Amino acid sequence: MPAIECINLTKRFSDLIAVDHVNFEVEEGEIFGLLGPNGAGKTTTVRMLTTVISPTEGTAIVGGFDIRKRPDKVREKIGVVLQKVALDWWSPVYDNLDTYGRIYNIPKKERKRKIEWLLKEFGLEEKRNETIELLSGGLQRRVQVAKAFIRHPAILFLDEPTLGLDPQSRRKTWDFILDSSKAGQTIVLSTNYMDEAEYLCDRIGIIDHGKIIALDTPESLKSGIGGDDIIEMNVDGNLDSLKFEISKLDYVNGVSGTSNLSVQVNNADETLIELSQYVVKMGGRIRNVSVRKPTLEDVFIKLTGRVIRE
Amino acid sequence: MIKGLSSLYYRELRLMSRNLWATFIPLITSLLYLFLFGLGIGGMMGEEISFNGENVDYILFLAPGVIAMGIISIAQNAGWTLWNDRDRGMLEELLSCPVSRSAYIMVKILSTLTFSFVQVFLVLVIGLPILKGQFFVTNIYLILLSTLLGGVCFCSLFIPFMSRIRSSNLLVAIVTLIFLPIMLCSSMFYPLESAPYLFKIVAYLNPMTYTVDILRAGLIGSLNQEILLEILVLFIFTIALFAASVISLRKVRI
Repeated sequence: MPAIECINLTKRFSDLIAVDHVNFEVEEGEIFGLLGPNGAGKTTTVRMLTTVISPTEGTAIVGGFDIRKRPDKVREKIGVVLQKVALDWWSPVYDNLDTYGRIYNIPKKERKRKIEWLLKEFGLEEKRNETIELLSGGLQRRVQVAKAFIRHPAILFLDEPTLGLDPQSRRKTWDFILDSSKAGQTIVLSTNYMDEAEYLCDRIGIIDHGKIIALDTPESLKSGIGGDDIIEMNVDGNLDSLKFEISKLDYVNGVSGTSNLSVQVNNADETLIELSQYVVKMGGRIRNVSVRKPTLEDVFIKLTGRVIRE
Repeated sequence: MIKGLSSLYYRELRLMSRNLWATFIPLITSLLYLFLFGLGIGGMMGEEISFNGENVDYILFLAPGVIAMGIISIAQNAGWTLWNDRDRGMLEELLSCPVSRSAYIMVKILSTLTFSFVQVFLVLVIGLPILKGQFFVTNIYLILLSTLLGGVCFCSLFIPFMSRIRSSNLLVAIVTLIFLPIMLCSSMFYPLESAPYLFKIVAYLNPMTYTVDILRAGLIGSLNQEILLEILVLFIFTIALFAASVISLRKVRI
């Protein structure tokens, strides 16, 4: 049985369809990513799955319970890290973690042990008695993320967990996520950081305008764009015309880009020189060239024609 | 047991203990009002006031009004903590925990009641004895009952506004708009017997009138048929407003 099953999950806000008949499954122990630009519907999907808001249409089974019929049972199975820093502003760091532990009925001794461990792991030991309002945004975010790991729910929802974190804390959060997954936890990660999704997720659902437009493993998504290499060319000239001409070449799998040309090929070593000569022949003036592997950003561009942070 | 009630109540008390001034000021304010109104306005109006055909000491007449004003202020503060929770994302987070929306409302009400009872204690055991040199209470159970119903009623009244209005400026304006007529169109500061007819109608549509009347019966009156009827009306107001607050929080867009 999947840990999560979305069945035509839909949310409308007046005339806006924030989530539009979404269907996907998340297997037990999987790290599932929801990747998309701001406003794509990631947070609304997470809010429905965590029972904070009700779907307008459709439903989802989370941890074996219907989010519409048994939201109370769903809440027992899940843990959530919200996009927004949600902390008691005038309480110290320790109290915030303790209150969260109490809400989940974690026994006192275990709660204390877990809090001490989390304070150490997230570098918050010296800040334990400081009130949240006095902490920097990054430290507040660390407390918010640390809270999620005070217990070990069957399913953990992380909505942009590393937003605003420094690189070290970001890496630490990633380690926590991977460790939790190894321990059997199912994780749903909503993010618009491509590297994060690629590094952590077993499968990724790319969401745009409330719809899942692609869903697969990161490798399959990337291989689906056609080609193992991407040749990036910074070119002066008529880009639209160049794109059209290049796309006709038989060794070219696809061309995209608005300010640069991104050309998808199977083997850049074999085609780079020929392609460069062709661009020059077509009237383009090449300023610089680089070769890289495809990323999830390329997948998103191919699917939507836009970059993910537009 | 409503899920999450005890842990949420603990959180509420912990938050209040971290913000002692915000908790204490409304309590002290009641005493301050009692002294200022009692000595100042009471002096202007004369020592005694006609109530139910008898001359009554104005401070004793006023004390139930001051207690009721304290209850509604404390309820309003509880409402603001809800607004803060919503504004800062805590409400969303709490509602994704094994905590019911009813438990959340119950905790706001419980905290209102906790501090309302402390306030009753301060006025009756400290304020009035200092002013009058003796302890006054004829029916303590009427005072407790009125505090209980009034606390639930006024806390429930604020919840729909506090949970729905996002702009703090608009909320302040609306709360002020509600607050003043509730206090002034009631029997809080003056007897309604000689009030104009229209004023009386508005006053009897106001749960504050019943809260004050029952408190007053507990302090200087007695339990009679009229008070029994007022208890019934306040009870109905309380149930209706509590139901409205639960429905409101259930439907609120977080």
